[in-house]
Amino acid sequence: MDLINAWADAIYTENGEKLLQLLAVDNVDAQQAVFEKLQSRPAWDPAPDCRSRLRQRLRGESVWEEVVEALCCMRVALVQGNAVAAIGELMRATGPFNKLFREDMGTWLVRPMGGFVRALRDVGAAANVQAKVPPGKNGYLGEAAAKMNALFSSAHQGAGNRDKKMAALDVVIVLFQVYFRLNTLRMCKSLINAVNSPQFLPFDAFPASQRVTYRFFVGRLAIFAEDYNEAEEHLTYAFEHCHARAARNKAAVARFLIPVRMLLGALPAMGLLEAFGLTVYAPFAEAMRTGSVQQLNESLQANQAAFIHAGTYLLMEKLRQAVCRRLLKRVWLLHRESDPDKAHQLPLVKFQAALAAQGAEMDIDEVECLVANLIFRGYVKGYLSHRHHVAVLSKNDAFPALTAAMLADPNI
Amino acid sequence: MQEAWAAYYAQQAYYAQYGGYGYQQQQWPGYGLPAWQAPAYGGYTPGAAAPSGVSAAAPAGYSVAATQPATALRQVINDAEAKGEMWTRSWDTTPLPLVNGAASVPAVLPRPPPLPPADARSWQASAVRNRAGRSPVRTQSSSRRWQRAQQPSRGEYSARKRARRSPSSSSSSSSSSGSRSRSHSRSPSAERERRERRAGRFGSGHAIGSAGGHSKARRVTKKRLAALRDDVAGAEEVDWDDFVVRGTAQALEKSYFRLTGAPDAAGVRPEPVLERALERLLGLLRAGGESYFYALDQFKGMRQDCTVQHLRNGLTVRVYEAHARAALEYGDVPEYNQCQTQLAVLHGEGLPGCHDEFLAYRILYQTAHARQGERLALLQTLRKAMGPAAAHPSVQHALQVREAVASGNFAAFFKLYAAAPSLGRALMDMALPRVRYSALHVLTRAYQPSVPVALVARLLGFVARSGIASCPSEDTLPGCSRLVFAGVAAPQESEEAGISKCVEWLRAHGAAVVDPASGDTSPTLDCKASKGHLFVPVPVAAVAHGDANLDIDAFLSRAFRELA
Repeated sequence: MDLINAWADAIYTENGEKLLQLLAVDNVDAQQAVFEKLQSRPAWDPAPDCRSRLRQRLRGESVWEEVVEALCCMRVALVQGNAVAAIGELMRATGPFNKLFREDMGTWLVRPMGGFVRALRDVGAAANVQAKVPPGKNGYLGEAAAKMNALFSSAHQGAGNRDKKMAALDVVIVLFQVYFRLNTLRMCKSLINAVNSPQFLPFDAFPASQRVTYRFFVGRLAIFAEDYNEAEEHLTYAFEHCHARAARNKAAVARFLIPVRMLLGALPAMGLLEAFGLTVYAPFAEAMRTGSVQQLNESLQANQAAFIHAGTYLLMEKLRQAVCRRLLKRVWLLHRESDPDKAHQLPLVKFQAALAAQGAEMDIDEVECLVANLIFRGYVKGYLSHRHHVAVLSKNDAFPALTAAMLADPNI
Repeated sequence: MQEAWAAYYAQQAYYAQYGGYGYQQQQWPGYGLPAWQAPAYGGYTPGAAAPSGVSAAAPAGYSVAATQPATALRQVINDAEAKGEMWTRSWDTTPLPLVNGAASVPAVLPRPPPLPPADARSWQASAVRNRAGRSPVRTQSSSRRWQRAQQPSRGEYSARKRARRSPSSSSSSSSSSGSRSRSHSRSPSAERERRERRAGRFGSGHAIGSAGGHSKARRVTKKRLAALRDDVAGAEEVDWDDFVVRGTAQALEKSYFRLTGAPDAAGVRPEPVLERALERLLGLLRAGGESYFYALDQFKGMRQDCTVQHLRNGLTVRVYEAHARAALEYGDVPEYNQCQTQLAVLHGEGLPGCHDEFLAYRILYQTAHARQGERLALLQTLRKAMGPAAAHPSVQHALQVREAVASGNFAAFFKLYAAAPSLGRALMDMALPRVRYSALHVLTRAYQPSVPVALVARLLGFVARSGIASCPSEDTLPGCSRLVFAGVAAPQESEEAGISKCVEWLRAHGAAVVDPASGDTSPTLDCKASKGHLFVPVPVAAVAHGDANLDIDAFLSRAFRELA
């Protein structure tokens, strides 16, 4: 396949899909073509070829020459295995491409815009890996993200044709992916504000895949902000609208949705966990049902590495209070049976014994502290009486539903 | 250098004729372009070091300039314009029309100021000149604006710049010297005196214990750097290690001055001297003689020496670690953060040091600031804390603290506070006020109608609990002056003292404490009355400059040392 001719054809016929394919970093045909070219001419410089053939095909000079030349150089660098040079070439192409997008009056560049930012993301990540950029630094990917922001503002403004704004959500999604990779989540806020602003096209106008991805990332951000109700809303939307055949994506959404739902009191069925391969959550659901602090601690310990890697460790830890609440409820039920007169005055030593049986040895002060926390956060209704060393529980609804509890840290 | 002054006067006169920067807006008739866009023309006028023409013409007394060359210049330019040669004449090689002989010196132009020291022409000149109060920003920007005005294309620009840098002048471009000298001319001697007086308040501008700024080695380096700038093609083969400063100073004591130019080798201590200096400082700190202010100064000087000599080895790690510990002990959080950032990089490179101790500190710091945006960073640090590091007691302690803070388990938090190893308490002090205050909320909400203050004191860490012993290290950690760091909220040994402190704290936060009646033993906290009345008091000891412990004598002692 003749790469430059393919470019020229796509540009001349304004074929967005073809251009998208040519932009894709993992386009095997393009890589093969460049590889063969370099075999025959190791010092091939794409610049003059690009210029002459594009000029001929497009009947005159055009900014596309710079873009295609830079992208061909990028392919050459990638074939030679030099990701750092490749990202340099790609960033060189960004300015002219941006200009072309802004000046074009049609919508054929909407799809290629998505391809362009994805190329920036992939090559930027590869360059970071190759240059061994330490985790704290943004490196090439950070610079690529800055360029993507410029592309986003062009897409968001949609100069000349309102339908060009359809490219915006695509760019937002790729930017989210990059920011999550770089752990610079504070940059996401401005993007969300832009999406919520009235200049943005109505959310439902965008294709389902983009909507689902966007809501997924917004849900994850809400988890980090400890806003669990909102997180549940976004992730549920993403889960329900995710196409049934996109099993891996659905599992990715479920991985975050299930813990959030557990925190809010809705436990997953075993069938659901098996369907998405998330049986790692099964012991947690079990611990929440039985109030087994021991099982919770053991499971947290066993899966600590996996959870920290997935970013859900802090979330799973929050289940501890719900599990303690469950244990307290069971103790209370047993106490009610054994001593019906003083049903609502639960001696704390019983709770201490229960905890000790679970392997969590605590002295009475710590037990009081634990129950005080449960009362404060609304897991349990009642109060503590230190004089009698009992927890006096409310006569009706001593253990309200988990949705009523304070899940986030109190804002004191 | 004389031709540079000659050029300066020519430029001065030219600007005087054409109204300074206003000349840029002039339209030369017939071309449609402002004159300054004519490429070579712009370079021709002032700083142009047309070697033969200028050096031959400029007489020894550089008060040549005056209006004579200005009118002559104007004539030449008009002449070129009339002949239509503005764009075609080779201005680079046209000699300046300077007049031989100093007879026609006008009285209007002021006498030029005395020549500056021979080798201090460049921007890397001595600290005195840099601190002379001259606004470098303005002159730099003006010179840059002027240079931009004459920039047609890249190749020509660099050629012109190379030509301008005449062989006998130093590495600076004469445009910068021109612009700098422009400011000198505008400032009469009174201004100059004021500047020198201002500069004098910093002493010579060099670190104590270092030599002056104009050593031969420095001049040689500057020349080499200048040559490098010209040799664009050979830049890839440069061995930058050659340009790294190799210190020669021997003083063990060196205070810190922020570098404003390339460092002087005579002021930088080499590695063996640094080792001895560090040992000396650690000994002083251990003995408890010196104030933190002094130690901070010395530490920063050592860090600067390490950075400037590109030293990245065990010594650097020890310097940073000692400084971090000293900063933590004093309570200097910004310095601690700087050191911790560097240590994260150095430890990551595999250099030997107390990796576990500082990982524990990092976990504690991020736990204390988790709500202020450190949560994600905490997750990253936790990743590092898994594996072999988790076995270390400091790291285990830090992880337990994190868990306690995350789940609101304040009883465990204060137990861990009492048992904190090394300087953990200093970091837990950052989280402590918030934990205590939220615990107060929990207690007032959960306990009805009241709770004995003895229990509150026990739970909130005012009273020492039996059975918890912190394991003090055998020897003070390097950088610390105390064997055991007690922390702001060290638990009291006796219960009465603890309870009275607790009552004090409760009352300060708006809680209603009922004093014991005659029969009772301890006061009680009235939860019902306290609900809704709790608040965080304004810290009493707050000072505008932020550091309540800063002693005015420590601050002045350095000044006294200088003047003495």
